[in-house]
Amino acid sequence: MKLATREPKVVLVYENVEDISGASQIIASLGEEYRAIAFDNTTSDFVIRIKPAVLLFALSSVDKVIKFYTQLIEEKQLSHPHYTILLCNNRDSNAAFHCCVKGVFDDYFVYQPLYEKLRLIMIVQHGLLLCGVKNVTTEFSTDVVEPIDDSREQLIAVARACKRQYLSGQTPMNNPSNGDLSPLPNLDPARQNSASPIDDETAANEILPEFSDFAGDDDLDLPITPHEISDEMKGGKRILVVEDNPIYRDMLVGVLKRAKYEVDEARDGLVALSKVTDNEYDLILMDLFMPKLDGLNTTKQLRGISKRKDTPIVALTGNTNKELIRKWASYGLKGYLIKPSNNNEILACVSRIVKQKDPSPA
Amino acid sequence: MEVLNRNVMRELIGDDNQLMKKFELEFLKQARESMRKITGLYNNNQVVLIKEEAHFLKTSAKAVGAELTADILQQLELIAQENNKAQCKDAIVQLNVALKQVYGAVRS
Repeated sequence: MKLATREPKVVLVYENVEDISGASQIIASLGEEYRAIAFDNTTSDFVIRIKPAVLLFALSSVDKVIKFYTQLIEEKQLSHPHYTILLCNNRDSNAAFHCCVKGVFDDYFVYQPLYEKLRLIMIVQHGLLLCGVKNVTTEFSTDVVEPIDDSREQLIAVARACKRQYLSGQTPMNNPSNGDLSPLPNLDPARQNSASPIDDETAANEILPEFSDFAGDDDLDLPITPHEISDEMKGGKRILVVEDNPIYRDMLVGVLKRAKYEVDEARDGLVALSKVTDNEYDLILMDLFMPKLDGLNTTKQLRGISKRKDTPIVALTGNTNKELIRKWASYGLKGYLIKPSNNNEILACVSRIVKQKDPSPA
Repeated sequence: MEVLNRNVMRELIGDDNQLMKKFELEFLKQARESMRKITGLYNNNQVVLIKEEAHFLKTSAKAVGAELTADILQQLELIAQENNKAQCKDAIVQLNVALKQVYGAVRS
C-alpha cells in the first residue's frame, strides 16, 4: 500500500479522516501512487504542484466541493488533464448526480455508507486509464476482490479478445494505456515457474534435473526461422495454424508454405479468435490442448461469430479419446489429422477441404 | 521404437538436413525447459500438473521422431493424471535418460 508518496497519481482531499478510512483503504489497494490529504489552506497549492491524474473529494458537503474545485480552476489555474470523483453521503447523491450530469465532476460515489467498494475501484481505475496513466493494474489482492472461477475467467478473456477486435477505436476508453492491455491471466498453472523450495516430505525423493548439462551449449541457441521459405507465396488459399507447440507449428507452417498456401499462425485459442475476427481463412488447422483457450472452446466461440461460422476446421490431435473428439466434432469439424501426420497426409487433407469450400483451383 | 527416427521428420518437412538439424536442436532446447518445469512440479507435489507439460513436449517429440521420448511422455501424461507420484518419478528418470540419448544422437 502506498499511502504516502511524493508525486501521487491519485489524491483524495478529505475533511474528516474518520470518514474516509474505508474508502482510502480501497483506493490504496489499486496499487497506484496514492495520497490522502487533509483539506486546509495548503491543499490547493499541493494539488497544483503534484498534478494528480485522479482527484477525489470527500468534504462535508457537495456545495463545499463545488466551491473548492471552482477555486482550483479559477484562482489556481488547475489545467492539467485530470479526472474528478465526488465522494458523498447517501443524502447528497442527488446533488452529486446533478454535478456530474452537468459535467462539473466526472463521477460520484456514495461512500457513506460504503457498500460498493468494487465500484469505487472501478471508477478510480477508469479515471487513471482516461488520463493515460500507464500500467494500471487489473490484478487485485484477494483481500479486496474475490477471485472468480476459471470458466468465468476464460469467458471474460474471450469477450475481451472479441471486443478488442470488433470495437477497437469505438470504445470511450480507447487511449494509449488501455490499448495496451495487460497480459491475460495465466490459466495454465503448468506453464508457471515452479522454482519454490523443496519441502521436507519430498526432499528425499527429489529429482535433480541432470538434463541441465545442456546449459551453455552454444549450438542450442540456434533460432528456428519459420518464415525462411516464404515470400513467393501470395494469392493462394489462406490457412490458419493454431498450435501451442512452436516447433510443430513451425513445421506445419513450412509444409503449407512450400505448397504455396498463404499461412498465418496462432499460439493459442485466444490469439486465433483475434485473427479470425480480422481475417478470412479458407481453413483452420487447430490443436486440442492449448493454454488459455483450448481447441474445443475456440471452435465453439468461433462458431458464434456469424461471419466465420462456416470456416472449415481440421483438428490436430494426438489424442485417442474418441468421446472428446466426438464432442469437438459436434461444433463443426471437417476432419482431423493425427499428430504428427506426414507431408502427404497433411496436404491431401488440406487440399480436399479447401477444394470443397471453393471448387476453383487452389 | 527408436531414440531418434529421422524418417519421421523427413516425411513431414522434406529432406532438408539443415532444417532438420535446426528443429532437433530446438527440440533439445525446449526439452531442457520442460524438464525443469516437470521436476519443479514433481518436487512441489504438483504431480497432476505434469500432465500438461508432458503433453506439450510430446507433440514436438513425435514431430522430430524422438519416438522413445514421446512414448515415455505419453506414459507420464497418464501417470500424472492419476496423481501417482512414485510411478511419476520413475517416468521422469526414464525421460531424463531418453532425452540424453536424443542429445547423443543429435550430436553424433
